[in-house]
Amino acid sequence: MSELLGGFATVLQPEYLLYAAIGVTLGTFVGVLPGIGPALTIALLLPVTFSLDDPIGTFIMFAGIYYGAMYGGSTTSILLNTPGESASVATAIEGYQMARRGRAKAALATAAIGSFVAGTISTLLLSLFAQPVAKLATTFRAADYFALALLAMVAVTALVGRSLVRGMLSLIFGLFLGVIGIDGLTGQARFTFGTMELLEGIDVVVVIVGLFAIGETLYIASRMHSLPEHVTPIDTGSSKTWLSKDDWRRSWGPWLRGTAVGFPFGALPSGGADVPTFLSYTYEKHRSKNRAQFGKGAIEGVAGPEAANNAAFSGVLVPLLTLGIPTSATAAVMLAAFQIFNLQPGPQLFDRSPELVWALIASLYVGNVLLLALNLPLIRVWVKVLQIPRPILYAGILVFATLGVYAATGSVNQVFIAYVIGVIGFGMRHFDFPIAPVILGLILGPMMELQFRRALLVSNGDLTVFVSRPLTAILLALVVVALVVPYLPRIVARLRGRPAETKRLTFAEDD
Amino acid sequence: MRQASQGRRTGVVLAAGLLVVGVLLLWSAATAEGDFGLQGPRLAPVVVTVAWVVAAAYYLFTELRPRADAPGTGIAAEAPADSTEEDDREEPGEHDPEGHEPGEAEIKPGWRAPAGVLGTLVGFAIALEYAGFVVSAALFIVLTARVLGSRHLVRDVIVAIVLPIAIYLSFTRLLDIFLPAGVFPL
Repeated sequence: MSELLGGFATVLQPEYLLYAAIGVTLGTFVGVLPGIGPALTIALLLPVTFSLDDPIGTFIMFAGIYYGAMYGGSTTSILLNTPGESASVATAIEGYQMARRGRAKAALATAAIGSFVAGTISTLLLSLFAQPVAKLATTFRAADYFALALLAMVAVTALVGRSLVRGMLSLIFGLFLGVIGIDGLTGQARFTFGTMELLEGIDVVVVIVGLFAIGETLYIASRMHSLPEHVTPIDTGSSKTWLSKDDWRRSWGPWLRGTAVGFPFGALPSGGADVPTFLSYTYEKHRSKNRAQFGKGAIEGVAGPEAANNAAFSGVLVPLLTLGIPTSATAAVMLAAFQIFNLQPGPQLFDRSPELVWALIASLYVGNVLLLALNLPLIRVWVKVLQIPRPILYAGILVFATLGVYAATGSVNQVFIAYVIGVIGFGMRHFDFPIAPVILGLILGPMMELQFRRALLVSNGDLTVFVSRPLTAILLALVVVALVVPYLPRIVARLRGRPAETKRLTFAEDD
Repeated sequence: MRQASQGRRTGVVLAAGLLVVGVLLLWSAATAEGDFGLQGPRLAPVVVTVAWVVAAAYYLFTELRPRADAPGTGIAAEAPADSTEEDDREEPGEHDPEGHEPGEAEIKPGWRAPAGVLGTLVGFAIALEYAGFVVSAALFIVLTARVLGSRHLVRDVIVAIVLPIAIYLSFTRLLDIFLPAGVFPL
């Protein structure tokens, strides 16, 4: 607890408060832009931090950027029906319907306050869980890390997405990108095809900017004329207050339930916020007394998923900070940001830079408060951002994307690599392949390989190292469970002698 | 939803292409020199590319498999008995996440705009180190906005002058990040 108070003492210095405010504002500004999710927001804003030599300030800013981007994304989902990431899809379903019926203010308010409630509770949970998990993690060995990375990877691809084979192909593409370059243990070049440029490997920032910014813009360009241009006005309703008494009554339950779903799912390796937002949406839909309103703008359908989305982020930070294992695309970018400062998240982080960790956690509380204070009063500004003409907007995004890669790598060749990846991303979007598994494959693949080989080095090539310790064996058993779960309905149906239903359990849309 | 017959043909071509690329990469990985043992650096590329080939082959198989909705029926209504993985698209009653209204016509994606944007991007990257950031970004913004359908040349030009200069000054002066100055006298 004293560490957390120390974190607050750091964050509440005027300089760091300024960083947090800048982060929240920048994050909201970029997150509001249609089609841009938190992962890309952080990737685009990474260059801004290159010259800062203060990791604490930078990460305080990142926390603000992330929260801002998430909040901005929900604004766009509600007013424009263009979710920037799959975790906002559930919000868009009911939120946009509410906005069309003149209840935009209520939808925005329940999203903002729900995010605040969920963010605060889940950050509290994070502060409670982080230290014990980090302690536990100090006993982890290479074999355990291998099993964990494998679990994260399998859970992501098996649970998310409509088509297993497409998800697998996306993941394998990411793994392939991860293999490119010099092997860390032996220094041998792999898949460099004789070029110098590929020797250093493919940077995760380059891939994220390529897939999300360039690929997404090309995709949007291919269907520019079918984009929703109309921003739903926020004032058509007659009500003066943001939330009526009835809205409060209907919102608080979903907020708490969304938080309860979001945090554990975020903390487990299950792909971040996608699964819990859809679980929350489905749950609220089935148990609500106002079930008939679902599809026509039920406030529960905004309150629950938004809370789950926000809670999942604090959850995602648990494995990221304590184990160094990212479980969502955004966490992967955060990991890249850590590595820019030569910080390796993991159990040692709590020992080596406790002031950074606790300042980051404290800044989550502060960011939450700032968001609530900034966003609803400033909603008119964010709506103005939404009204930037599309051609200019996307031209500007491409300038920033190019600039981001150039500033990060200092090389035009890397810019071209990002463009090539962008074209691939465009193809993936066009043919309905999920994007997020690529990023996770790129990050988790090399991690897995390294830990696998390390474990074998320690055991002198003895493969039983992966089953001889209970912890490793349990983790590997979970991998099998994660592989089987999506097929449970079908298997159960078979066992009962009924013709097999074709539905796999799917929670989220592809990316 | 895609037209069933056409969508299927492109699906087969895509899957076959992925398979070919996978086989080539596998061949490249398998013929590299080095230690293919469990602890060696050559195993992972082989594992990844084998997985690629297997997944691509399976994808091709599902694309080739005859479907319940016969080609030519127009908009593919997913038959309930269909058992391919890819076809459990929408749960009944779920909303289309893309936000299409139920009656909204599916708009055919165009190829000219993305091709044009890619062209301006490549030009931007080439010009960046010669002409400098400000000039190349200004040209890029005007041309790209044009390609994306903007018809307000004056507005675009104003943005194209103000935005790059603002970015250039804030990056180089405030953030100490190098950007090529090129011909721009600053």
